[in-house]
Amino acid sequence: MSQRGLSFKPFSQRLVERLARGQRMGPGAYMYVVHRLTALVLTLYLFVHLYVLGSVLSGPNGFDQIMAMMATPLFRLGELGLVWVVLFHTLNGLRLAVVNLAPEVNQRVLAYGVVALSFGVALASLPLFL
Amino acid sequence: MQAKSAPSTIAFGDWIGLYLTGLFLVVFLLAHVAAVHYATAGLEAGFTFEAVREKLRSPLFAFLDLGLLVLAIYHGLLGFRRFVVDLEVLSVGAIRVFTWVLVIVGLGGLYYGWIIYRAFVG
Repeated sequence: MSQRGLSFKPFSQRLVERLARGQRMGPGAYMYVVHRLTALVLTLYLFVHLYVLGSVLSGPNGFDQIMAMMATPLFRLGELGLVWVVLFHTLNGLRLAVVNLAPEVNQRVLAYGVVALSFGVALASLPLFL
Repeated sequence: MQAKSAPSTIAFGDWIGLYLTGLFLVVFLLAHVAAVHYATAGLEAGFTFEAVREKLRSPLFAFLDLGLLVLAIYHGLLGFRRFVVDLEVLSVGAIRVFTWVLVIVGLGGLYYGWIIYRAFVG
């Protein structure tokens, strides 16, 4: 009996199997990989953010010094990157919800829309970081 | 070999948890970004202890920031658990231990966030 129709494997496992067979990844697979990567980045950032805010425990001056350091161009650039990560993860999460609720929608258009919108809004917010 | 791994199932509860907290996260995150932006607008010194203290003394902003912390930790760790479980490298017992480790990490993060909040407003 073919397992194909009954398979309920996680997407990650099916993706690895496809790659092992030398098959190309579609837009959905790329989106899946980037979604997971952005999730890891954001989870890591959450705890780094808490750690940085924890500088307040050494007093107001310690906090202000850390915040002054964060105002340098390098960190501002990092914040802009973070904006894109948040935008992509949020929009792609909404895309996944739409795909699950209405599988008949054009998934390719949705995927390209998420990429375009996330880059577009991140670039539009550039003046806020200059 | 296969018997050692946890059965691969789509965890419906995980999806509901991720989607619901994800939707609320968007709202709380937008409010957080707006609050930080307006709390520091017009201040020459930018983002300072006093600016954050003023913001967090407002019950609304305190609710938004602490709510964001709860949602972000829950959503982040639940998503991370799902990521690891999907790899199918952990046994059922190991998943249980891993889940408890994440619960402890999450509670630790919440407690640390609460201490930081108290340091600002205390």
